[in-house]
Amino acid sequence: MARPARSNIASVILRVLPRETALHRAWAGSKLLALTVLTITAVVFPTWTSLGLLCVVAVAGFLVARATASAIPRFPGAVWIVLAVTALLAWAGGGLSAFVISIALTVVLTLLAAIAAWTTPLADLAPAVAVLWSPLRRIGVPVNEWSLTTALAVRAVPLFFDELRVLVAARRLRGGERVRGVRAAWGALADVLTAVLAATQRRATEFGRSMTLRGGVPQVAIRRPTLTRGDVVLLIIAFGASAVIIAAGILGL
Amino acid sequence: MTSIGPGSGALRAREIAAAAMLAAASVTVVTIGALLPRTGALELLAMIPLAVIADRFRIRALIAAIAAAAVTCFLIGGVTAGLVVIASGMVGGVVGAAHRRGRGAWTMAAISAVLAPIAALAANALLLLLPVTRTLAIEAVSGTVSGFARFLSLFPGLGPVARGFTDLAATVGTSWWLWVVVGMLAAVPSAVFITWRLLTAILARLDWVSVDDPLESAHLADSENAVGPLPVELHGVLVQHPGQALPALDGVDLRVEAGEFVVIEGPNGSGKSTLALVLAGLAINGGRVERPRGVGLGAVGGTALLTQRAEVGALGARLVDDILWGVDDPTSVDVDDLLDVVGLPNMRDRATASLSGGQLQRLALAAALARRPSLLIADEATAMVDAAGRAELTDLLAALPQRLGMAVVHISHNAADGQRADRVVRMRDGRVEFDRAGPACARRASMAEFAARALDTAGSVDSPLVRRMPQEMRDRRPATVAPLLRVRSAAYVHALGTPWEHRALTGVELDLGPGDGLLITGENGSGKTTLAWMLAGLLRPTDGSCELDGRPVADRIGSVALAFQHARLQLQKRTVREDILSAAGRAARSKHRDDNAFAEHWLETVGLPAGLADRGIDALSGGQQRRVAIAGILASRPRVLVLDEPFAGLDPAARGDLVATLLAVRDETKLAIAVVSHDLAGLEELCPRVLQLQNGSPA
Repeated sequence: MARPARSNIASVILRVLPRETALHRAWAGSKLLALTVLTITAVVFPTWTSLGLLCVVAVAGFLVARATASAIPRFPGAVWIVLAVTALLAWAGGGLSAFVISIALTVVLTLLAAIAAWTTPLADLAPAVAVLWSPLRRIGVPVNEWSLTTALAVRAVPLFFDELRVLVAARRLRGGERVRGVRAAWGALADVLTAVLAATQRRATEFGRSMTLRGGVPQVAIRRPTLTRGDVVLLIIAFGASAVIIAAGILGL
Repeated sequence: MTSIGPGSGALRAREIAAAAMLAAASVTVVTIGALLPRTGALELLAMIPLAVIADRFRIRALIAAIAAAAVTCFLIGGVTAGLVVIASGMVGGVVGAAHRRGRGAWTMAAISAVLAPIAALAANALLLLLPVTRTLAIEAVSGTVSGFARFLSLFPGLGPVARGFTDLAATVGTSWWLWVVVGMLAAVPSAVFITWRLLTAILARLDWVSVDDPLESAHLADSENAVGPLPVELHGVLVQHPGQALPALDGVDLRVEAGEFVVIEGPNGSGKSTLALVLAGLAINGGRVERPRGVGLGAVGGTALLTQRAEVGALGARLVDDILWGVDDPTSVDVDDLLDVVGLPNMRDRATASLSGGQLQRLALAAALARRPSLLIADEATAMVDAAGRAELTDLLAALPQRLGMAVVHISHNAADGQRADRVVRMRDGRVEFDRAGPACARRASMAEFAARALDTAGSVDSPLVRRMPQEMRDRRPATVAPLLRVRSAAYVHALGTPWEHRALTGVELDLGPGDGLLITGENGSGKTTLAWMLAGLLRPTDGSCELDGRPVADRIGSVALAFQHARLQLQKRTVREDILSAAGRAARSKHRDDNAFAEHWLETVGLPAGLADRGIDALSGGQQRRVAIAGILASRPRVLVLDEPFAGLDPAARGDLVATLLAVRDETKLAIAVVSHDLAGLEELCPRVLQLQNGSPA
């Protein structure tokens, strides 16, 4: 029996959990907003209090989304070794607590982003972002073109993951050729980037033509989202947790 | 190089598309970097696509790209990824803008000299404003450094070094701002310099000059007009593409009226596609085009153009998003009905990324019909659909004039399509060879019947291929010689052990011997491509075995050659010659002293002129790139070759050439060939055996 191919990260990110939960039903904009608020407060107040609260929020989100540990991508062993060695050094130097907080916060924030991604189809992201950005129109921000660019970029990201997979596979198939020295490595890097950008350029031409064929740059309709009870609960939790973190931070807890 | 189009105003379609694609490239790089910390250096490369935007497009496009990339990265990779992309956009943007003005090393040094203090100042201001974060960072860094010092002090003789590190750790707490300054003074110039050098190397090879789309310019000029494209009359139209000796169209007269089904035929290069563009509003260099009112490209009641590569232009993430993309009044469109008519029933919420080429062409037709055009131009728009589906779609196109009163101009390689036409126009060398009433005129009455039938059967797509296959091809004759490649009850499960677990293959058995030819076919999603990757060893079977000479192929990747559908990604060197030599490997070309003759020999083998050897990869057409990729593979002298959809996007003549090449090589070198293809036509001799996959199992 062969080893399962769990380490293929491209096959598990950007994918929505096949479930029907309150978080799946919530508006993509609420999830983005909650994520943004929690992230900002955690960056401003990286304390044990925020770590604890964020862990609670993340675990709750994890359970509500009915996610399983198997959805989390596996990291290569080298990552754990580097982390362990650094932790050991920090412990020896008396900075273990600070080290743990900073690493754990990064992990929890990434997990929160992952929970949002697990419950939000990419197609819902751009319309929600357009609504969140819409107040910026008053100060002259070209929200329409930003939203369209986001929508197309989101559409293209999975295509790029596929292309990168092919690129890596093609290099493995050629094998044999060792890259020796800085100059050769530099040349190989330029080769790979040129291939990626050539594919990018082709797609850009095709998508541009495709837009023209549909009458050019459209006005993105900004539709007021219908908020569910889940949205309200989600936003109350996010803003509530942030308020507690800020209060605790100011009081120096 | 100056900026395209108007120097101010909203972004054009071409600019938005470029900004979005380059943003997506950055997002991909940053995300992989964030999720695989081992490849953290990868994040530096995120600057390159953003620098390209600044180099070739307006700053406005760069800002839109940064905004799009930041929000996408934030969701996928978290806050660090989002911040990395914003910083990359700033550095890449400045470098790209300087590169665009042709500036060199001194300017880059000056940029670094300005950017580094700004970055240091900004970082210090942030740390000053965020005391909690600052304290934490200081503790973590000084802790790790003094921990390292204690580790060093364990070794005798390293005492002074250890004390040095201890002192260093102490300075983090007292003069953290200095550390930030030193860090930025090191990081910013390195980032600027690397970005600049890479950008220069890449842009020298890639031709991003075609940043403007002539059809878009024509459309913008037309957009003020009221819509009314029919009847359209062309009088002595001349079109000269820049940089080409002969005009693409030379004195073309043509009239298209409402309710007509016009078929345009002619060989490659006869000007058919240019004629389609002129009907869609492209500016002409001579003669005149008369329409009652504007072309209305993509407008309701205007003109719709389905291009040759209609399968690559799906804009929406889901089918419904794509059909409604840019439609002013979504409530006026019955999406389910449209999907039914083009043969994609009940697929409204499917992701466009999951569709096959043929299905995407059907989707493009649905999106065109959603605007109820008066004039529908289909330029080889059914090439990716299999033979039965193509007949079905042509029936549908032929029925539209009768059913909805629109004019349909159908450009086709397929001579049989002329049978249904009201008029047949043949093009040759940029001129109209003849323009006469088609057979269908006499059978107007039967057309209505035809229409009804086409719309009835449109629902049943991609009927099992096996039904259309000759009986003898279905027989899976055992290989006559001892097999090289042996697959036994092989299975593959994607994302095994995750919530997205998906069984792609089950119980596959196959033998491939020297000189064998096997066709692997099946519907979209039947596991064809997964099997191709498994045969090449890129995927290890999750159950069963896939062995070459009795050893798992996955243990020796490269021993089975694989030609990918997307040839450009397979080509990894700057020129055709370098790529063929690199693909061949040292062992295969050691017998030849002369590298030039070696590369040229393989170019000729795949039917390309030897003169192509010095060309840059990106100066080739898509069809040529696929042939060069195959040339490189053949030069490596594989014993087994797997080709994934090698005929996608090739016209019938090019397809015939490629089959003949493969056949000759197979018979000469006893190469074992497995072809993955959805289209069976003309492969009987190359692939006497067929493996039909259905839901991942042999049917």
